[in-house]
Amino acid sequence: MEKRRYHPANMLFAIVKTIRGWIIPLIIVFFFNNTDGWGSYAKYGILGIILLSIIGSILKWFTDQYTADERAFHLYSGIFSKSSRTVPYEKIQNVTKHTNILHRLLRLTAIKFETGSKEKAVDFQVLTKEEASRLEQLTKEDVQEQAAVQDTEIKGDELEEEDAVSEQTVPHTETKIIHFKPTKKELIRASFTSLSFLLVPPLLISFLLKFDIFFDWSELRQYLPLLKVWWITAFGLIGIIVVSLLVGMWRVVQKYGNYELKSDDTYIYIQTGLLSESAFSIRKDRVQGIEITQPILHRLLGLAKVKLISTGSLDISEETETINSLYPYFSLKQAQTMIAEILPEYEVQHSMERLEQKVLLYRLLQPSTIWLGVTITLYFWRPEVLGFEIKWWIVSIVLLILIEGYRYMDFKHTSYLISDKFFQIKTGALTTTLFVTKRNKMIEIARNQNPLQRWLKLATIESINRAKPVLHNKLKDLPASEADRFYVWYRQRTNDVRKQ
Amino acid sequence: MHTQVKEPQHKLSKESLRVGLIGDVIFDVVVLLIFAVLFGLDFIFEWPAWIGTILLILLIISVPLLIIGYLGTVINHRNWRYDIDEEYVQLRQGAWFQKDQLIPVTKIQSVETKQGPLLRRYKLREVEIETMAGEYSIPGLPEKEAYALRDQIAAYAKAKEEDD
Repeated sequence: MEKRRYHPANMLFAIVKTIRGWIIPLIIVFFFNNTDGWGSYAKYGILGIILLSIIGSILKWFTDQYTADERAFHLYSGIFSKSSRTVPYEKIQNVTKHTNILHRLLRLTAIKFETGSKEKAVDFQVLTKEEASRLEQLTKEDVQEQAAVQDTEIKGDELEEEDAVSEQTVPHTETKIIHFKPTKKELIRASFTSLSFLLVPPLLISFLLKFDIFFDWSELRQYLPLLKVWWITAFGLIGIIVVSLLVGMWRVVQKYGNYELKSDDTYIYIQTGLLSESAFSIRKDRVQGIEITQPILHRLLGLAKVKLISTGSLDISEETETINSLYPYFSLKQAQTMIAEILPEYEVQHSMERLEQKVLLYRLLQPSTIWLGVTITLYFWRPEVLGFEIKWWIVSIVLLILIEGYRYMDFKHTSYLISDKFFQIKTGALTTTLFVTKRNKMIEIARNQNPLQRWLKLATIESINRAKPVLHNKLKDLPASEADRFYVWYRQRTNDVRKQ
Repeated sequence: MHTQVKEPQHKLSKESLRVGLIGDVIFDVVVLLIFAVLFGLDFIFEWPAWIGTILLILLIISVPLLIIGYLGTVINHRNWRYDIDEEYVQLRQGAWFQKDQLIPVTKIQSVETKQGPLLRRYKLREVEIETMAGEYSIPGLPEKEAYALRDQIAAYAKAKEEDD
């Protein structure tokens, strides 16, 4: 197999990145520093660093190579000490593509193959779109072939999972179904519910406060009477509101204007971004779990955010959103149907078990360290705000009520379900999170019990899932008998795992 | 089919308790030495009086803590349990704060045995299991047992390739 160099534009991107990283020190050294003393040295120092890293990236382009055969990536790197790395396609957990504005101008893209929680991903930062789709196709074809021959082949643990069965029986088809693409109306609704337009007035004010070097506040005073003319004030206010709405809409459109959720038999595809595009694809059986979160506002509006838990990390660069999330402005119901459509193996149950009433009492009676700390500090310190002494006991009582309220809400929302093959827990006081995973996707479990829990016949259970970083989900204070059931249930996990 | 939770049976060896206690003694000696040095410095350089008082208070607090430390070592040792079968590694720690862990052998990535100078003195070894989620260790097993355990885990975990 012929080794290939990476795309030459990698050098350009590396140079741009270096300059962007050092631009602020460079400006400081060149414009805000007189040539006396260390300033001139710093100048040369920084220029030297930039030059070195540019030379480094050019050398790197000359030395680094890759090949992709029908089974694995082979990566060769190193300027002085050479190293080579082989990454079999079957290790790939998910694929993210990202095209920022510079990529777009040059008709290029970036692609990243995530391999697992502890290993480095196979990352192509710049390459042509054709090459990207060629590589992506290669990795996917291999997996399908593997699935087909798997019965006879005793190899590859990934294939231990039961999902592999469905893969064999259903032949892979190329037809992708589009499950969701926001319409204009939905985008407008989203821009209102996102509330990002509320950001504008504070930004405007902070802008005014920061840039008063360009004008004098006292000079403005003569214009103040103008505000008394009602239509000027009205126009001003309307202007601000319109600008806010437009900005809010722009933010939503930029993110979700191009949003698409697709799937075929084996994969889920998510695409987002207007100016800089991101695309994410994951094999269905590589989904480690689902997380449905509802911050307080979402709950009031009946909306929900859905996240697919995957082993690889999802950020392809700092500026991209986590694109493993589905469209965040789904109504809860819509979100649930969407999950049922794209991941038919997952069943999200609605009726879940609650904690016992005694748990509420147990939790309310626990001493709160925050409350104790604040109360004791205030008792001795007694600070004054605006000339008034703050009554320590008022603060203390208010804080206690808040803390107990928080605990009550958390108790109210906490529920769990240990069903045939699924484990479901819901927690959270203000933001509720419902986590659903399959028994065979949990890589470990734990059970804890403290003396008080033992006395009350309670226990804490913990599920551990693959993710980057590893995902721990704890459920506190469920009946000890249920914790035992959880333990036994997990022991029977071997039933859903295909043995080799 | 509702089987009872099978509790892990294997205990740690008696020698490992001795090793734990010796470790405690060494730790205590180091702590007391630090105190001695501080008191010495306090005496020689005539530090302000409050430093001496604080040192004294710290010493008084730490003595019972050190004694509780021995008790903790004994209790922890007594309540440590582990078990291994073809499918799971089961660990249990703690008496008051009890922690149970259930790890499928297929998720084990590596097993190794380790030995420090104290463990070597008593011909003990520590078995360390690395999984996708983290590392677990079974401290202080007699060498033979440790090797046997390592080989057993390795054999059970062998069928599967590394998952991650």
